[in-house]
Amino acid sequence: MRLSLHPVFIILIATVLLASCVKEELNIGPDTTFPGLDPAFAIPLAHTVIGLGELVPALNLSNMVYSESGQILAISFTQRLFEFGLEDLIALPDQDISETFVANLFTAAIINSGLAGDQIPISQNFNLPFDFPNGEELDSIRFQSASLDIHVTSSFKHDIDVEMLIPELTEMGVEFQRTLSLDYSGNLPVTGDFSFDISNTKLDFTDPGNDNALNILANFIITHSGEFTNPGDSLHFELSLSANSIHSAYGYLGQYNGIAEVDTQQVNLFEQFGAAGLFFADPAIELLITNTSGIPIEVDFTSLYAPENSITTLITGGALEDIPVVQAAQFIGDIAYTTHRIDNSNTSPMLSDMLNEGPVNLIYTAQGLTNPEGYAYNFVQDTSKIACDATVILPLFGYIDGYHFTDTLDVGISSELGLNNGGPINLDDVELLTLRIIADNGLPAEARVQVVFLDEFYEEVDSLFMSKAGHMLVSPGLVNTFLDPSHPDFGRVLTRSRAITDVQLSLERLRKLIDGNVKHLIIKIVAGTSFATQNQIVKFFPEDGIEVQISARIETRIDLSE
Amino acid sequence: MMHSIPQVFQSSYVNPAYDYGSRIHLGLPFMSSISAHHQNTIFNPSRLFTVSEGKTVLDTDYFLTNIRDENYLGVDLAADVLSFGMPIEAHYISLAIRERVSAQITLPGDMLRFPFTGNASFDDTGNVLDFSGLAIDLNRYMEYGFGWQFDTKSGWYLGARVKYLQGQENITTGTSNITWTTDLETYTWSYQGELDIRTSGVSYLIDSLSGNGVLENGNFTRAIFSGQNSGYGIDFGIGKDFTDRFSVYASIVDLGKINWKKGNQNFNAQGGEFSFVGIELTEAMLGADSSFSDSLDSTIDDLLNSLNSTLNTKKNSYSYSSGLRTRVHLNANYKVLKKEAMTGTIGLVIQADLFNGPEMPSFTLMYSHEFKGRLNAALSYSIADRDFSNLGLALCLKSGPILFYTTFDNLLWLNMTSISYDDQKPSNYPSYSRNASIHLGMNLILGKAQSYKNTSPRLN
Repeated sequence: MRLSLHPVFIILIATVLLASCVKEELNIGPDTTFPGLDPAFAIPLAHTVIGLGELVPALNLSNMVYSESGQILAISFTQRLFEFGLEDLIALPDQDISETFVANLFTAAIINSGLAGDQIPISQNFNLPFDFPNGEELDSIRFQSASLDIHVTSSFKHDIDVEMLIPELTEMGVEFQRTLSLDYSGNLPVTGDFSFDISNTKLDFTDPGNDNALNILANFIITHSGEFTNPGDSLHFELSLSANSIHSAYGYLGQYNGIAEVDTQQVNLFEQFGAAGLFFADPAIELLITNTSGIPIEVDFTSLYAPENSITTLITGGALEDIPVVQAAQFIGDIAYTTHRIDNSNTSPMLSDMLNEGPVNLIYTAQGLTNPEGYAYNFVQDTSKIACDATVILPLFGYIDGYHFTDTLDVGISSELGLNNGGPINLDDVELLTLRIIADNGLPAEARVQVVFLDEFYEEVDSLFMSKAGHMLVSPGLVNTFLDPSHPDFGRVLTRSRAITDVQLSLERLRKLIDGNVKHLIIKIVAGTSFATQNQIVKFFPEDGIEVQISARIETRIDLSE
Repeated sequence: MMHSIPQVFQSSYVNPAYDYGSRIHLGLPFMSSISAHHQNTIFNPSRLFTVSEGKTVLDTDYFLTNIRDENYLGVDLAADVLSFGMPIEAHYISLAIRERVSAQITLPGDMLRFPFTGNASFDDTGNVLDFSGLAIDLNRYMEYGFGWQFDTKSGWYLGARVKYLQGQENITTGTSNITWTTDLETYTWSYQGELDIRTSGVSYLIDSLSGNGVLENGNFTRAIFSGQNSGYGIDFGIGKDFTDRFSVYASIVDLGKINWKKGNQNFNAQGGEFSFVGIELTEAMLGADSSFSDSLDSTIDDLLNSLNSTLNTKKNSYSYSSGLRTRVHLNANYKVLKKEAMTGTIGLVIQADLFNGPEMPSFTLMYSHEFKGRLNAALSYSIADRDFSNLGLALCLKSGPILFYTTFDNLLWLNMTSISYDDQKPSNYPSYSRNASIHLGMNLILGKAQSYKNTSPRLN
């Protein structure tokens, strides 16, 4: 068989040669061009929900705002107005008392009947009532630091030892007992000064029938000198009890009205808020009075004074004086709380009139009276306090105009846009960059937004919006003004409003930003409630916020050979 | 093209009803059959690039207009480890042990267009990029096939092959319908859909191929020979001689599945919808003392965690099954030349691959010329995969007990493009064809051909 000559093989060979004879060469490298490689990318760059809660740290108001979902957001700041301790609540004046023993005819005869060296005992009881200024009826007082000073004057021509016992004064449970010695040396009068430290001792008046009086039992031992005793010779005591500090006191501590306090609270909120116009429709001052003593007290604010105000400088009466009696603690360790709210409903002129002038200082004048309802069993210790904290609460219910704040964001503009060297796209590939800012405003405030690009030295490189008029204007959410102002939802945002603004950055401008080494952005917002100049009142809730999304559309023309 | 040389034992792989004679067949290990099929529906360099003024230029219009919803890059490889066949009376039984590998990457059209359109060419592409169909599939298994072929007296040809399959490695992409939507107004991105990828034995293979433990721990050997995932397959074929010149054949092959149970690692992200509105600028990020880059990293971590959570990503090692690349064949032959010394046959073959779902079948017109049963040569022209430039060739030569054969579905594959990137050593890649198959081998044919047809046993 002659296979090699058959036409079939000729066709086969020809086909193979024809199919395989062509060989192309392609050099895919830097010179290769890819026409039409001009994709456009839409990139969501950043997103944030600037809720009112998020504004708080920016305003340095972290400790000043309380928020609770469903409740109106409020700015609050608290200051301790006054604090009374034991020293303020009980005053124990120095007790100066005196007693005199006088030898009558009979006593003198007895003494004269003796011989030199004989000792003649004489006992005397002295009852010395304490002198309290406010009708105190104490059960006991424990001194922290106190002293008892005794000055004795004798006209007897004998040596005398006085053994003095005070049952009401105990020291570690032992009755106070001391001996006073007077030595006659031929001159009269014979005097002696004695001082005793009675710190940490206790005065106990709990014996039935004891009406805050000291019983002093004095035993005189007269040592006969051999000289004559005349009727009328006397021994005179002057006692002075001085308490520098008291550890505790029990009993009825009387009605003490020497409590007065004047304090100033700085309201620096208004400076921080930086608003040109600010109105709070429903401000309040909440008082929280805590009492760890067993003394009820009546506190009145005689006035609330705003010295920097021009119109409403003074509020008196009303709720300032209607503060309920501060209840006493029931036992040691107990804390009694008393609250009181001062707001527009119980002040005249209204509290808002004073606060909306933006005072820098509020000056309170307060006074107090213990046991305002008469007798009560009290206790007080050196650690006991009656303290009053005043919280100024400014619910964001009102209007605001020209509020402004700024925040700084550190960014690398080229990396944010994915235009780093070595990336798939570089700056030369960009034909047009369009930044799209989408704002969904759920705040009852309109806002103007500007973004400023800064270099590493915080020098301005460019601004997103070229002119003030070109600032992005975000309309406020639709506010519910269709209800009665007393309705909880009055002034509340019903629906958010959306604003979309495109800013085209030309290649030259983008290059300026990147070459300018932009490292920081400053976001400036100027906000105001709608119709602020017409005093439109709106409410701010913690859940209110403005949602901002920054997206970019990059149109490119990529040349891979570059 | 194996249809053009039915006397070769391996033609039973496309239709087990083919009558390949009355002799004993013995396929030598790794010599009797090696086949490869390559599919590339998109990256044909000669069509994609032109040279203009010494510069290589991408034909973007061609590229973009020829992108389909799903685009394939794939390869099928098969090699006979051992094959044996012998006639028993009117029947012919056979055994074939084959190693088979198929791999395919499916690229969604929107993914290929993305570098040219981005996600913001809203007028051109809309705002939804559909990545449905993104898939990677791999299947490597050993096939133990027991074949049977029978000729009836009435001119029918019947054949079947039952196959026990031993799975080695598999990657199966199940549901894949991820979409990426860019909001027209805010440019917010949102992702929806499900991606289900199941793998088996891949970690063994990776472990065995990494480090120095390949030979030490036996992983490589185990990966090659000890698949523990069994499956079954079956091929059916039927033919009929309507006249002594005209015949028709039909077959369905590789109908079956493999149950993957060992070494499974499955990944599933289902039912999620995830939106990205930009990096969240939090108070921590804006704080004066904070590091923006640290915060950004942290935020991105949170974002990925959120994505992971939203997409409900799960890993498991559940068992699963994967189907074979089932194909159907229909061919009709007419002997235009019928002489004692030679015959000439014109055939039309219609083939369809069902793996990627119902698709337009390929059509092949061929002419086969046989010389006294010693030499068979064939030429073919095919329209496959919307490609009209497929010129094929088959050659079968018998000399003594040795039968050599080769088929090549697309001679244009011989037309190579030399691709060099920068100064690197150039690589050759076929310039044109989307589909190309090559199949070659050498069998031993023992015994004497007898006239048996329809009347008597083929081998006494």
